[in-house]
Amino acid sequence: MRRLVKPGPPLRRTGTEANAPEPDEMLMERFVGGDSAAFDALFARHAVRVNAYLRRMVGPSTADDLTQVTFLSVVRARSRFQRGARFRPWLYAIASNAARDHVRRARFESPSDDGEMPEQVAETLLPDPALEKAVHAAMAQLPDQQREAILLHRFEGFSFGEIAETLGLTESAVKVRAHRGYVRLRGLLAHLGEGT
Amino acid sequence: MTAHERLLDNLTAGALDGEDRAHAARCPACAALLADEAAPAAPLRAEWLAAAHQELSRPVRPWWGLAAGLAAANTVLAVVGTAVLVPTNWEASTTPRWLFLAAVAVLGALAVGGAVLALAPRRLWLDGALILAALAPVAVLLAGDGHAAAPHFLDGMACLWAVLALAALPLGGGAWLLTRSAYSPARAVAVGLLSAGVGLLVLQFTCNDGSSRHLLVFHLLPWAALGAVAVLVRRALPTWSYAP
Repeated sequence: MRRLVKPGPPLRRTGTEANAPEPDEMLMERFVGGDSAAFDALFARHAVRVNAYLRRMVGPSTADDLTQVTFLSVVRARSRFQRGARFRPWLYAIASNAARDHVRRARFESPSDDGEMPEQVAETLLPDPALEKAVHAAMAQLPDQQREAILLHRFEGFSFGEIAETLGLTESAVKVRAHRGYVRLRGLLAHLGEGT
Repeated sequence: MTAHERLLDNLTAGALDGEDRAHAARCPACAALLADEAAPAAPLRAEWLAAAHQELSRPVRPWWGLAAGLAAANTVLAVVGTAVLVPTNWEASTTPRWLFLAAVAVLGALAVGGAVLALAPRRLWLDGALILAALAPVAVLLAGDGHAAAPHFLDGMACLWAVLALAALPLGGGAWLLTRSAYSPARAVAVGLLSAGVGLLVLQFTCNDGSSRHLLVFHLLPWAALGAVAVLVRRALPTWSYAP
């Protein structure tokens, strides 16, 4: 079970924050209230990062479609955003759910022999250098849950608390997943050479 | 602890230090873990935003309104079902009245309130629906008076068909509502059990057989099976929104 976001206290802007960029949560509140410009601002702020996350999750050929699906879901389900919840974990929960659903359906349609990610997911994202290829190939071999935790932690800069909100888990469970993922990832990269 | 293990622990903790980086400089496998990469994102594409804007023109129906609609439909179905099947057990049951009513309260809360709880975005509310579902079989068995009314065991099949038939509409509506949020097996089970809960509620009033064997096989078995069916149905359906 996953992807449920805990609510927090409602946000208020103080006078000293007036010049700071408007927080995502305030934009989302405005969007829920009917201000489509607030959605445009959220889209401009997050779409590229979400796309990058999805590219790492499912590969470039599907990531663009899933990026669109993610923001369509934001629009369609805006009434499900809880007042006071943090926006970024909610957004990435949507993206993660879309990616997971894609992988689940891809497995159902063309299951691989070893039960690992279908070929589409394992495709490398960048043609070079060799190191990046090796990392991407190793990432693609991680179980979904470990890969999600590592992508959010290592590449999206989420705290474990934010990842826990995103994935609907406890913080300690996320740490365990991430650590196991790192250990496994390192094992998969051992062919690159061992230091002392 | 080896240098590799130390680096992995500190990487997880977000506390990499100079010693870890020095080790990574000598260890290609660990260096690969720390390697930065260019963000592989595509540039912003106009069609992503255009699709969202197109969606904005459609009216928004809040989740709680739809869930309340399902709850109301379940209420109507339970009342009509009880009237059609005739509530003879209300008079015939020898179960203490308070226990009978407690079971009705649990089953009613599951079939009606459970619709709102199971479809809510908050995990805590979903847990509430699952707790109600866990209480339902206990309530049904405790409220049974032990009296075996049917001369043959298989005569109880009518109750099984009643549970399945009364669940059809709630399950159809619930499955449609489930597509408006991300696939969640727990949420699907809750919707399946609350849909089948309408049948349990109706049979509480209309079935005079209070033997545990009858209740288990012809009331609770189809009820539980519909929980599993709901998961399969939801898995097969497309998702309209991936929100939690």
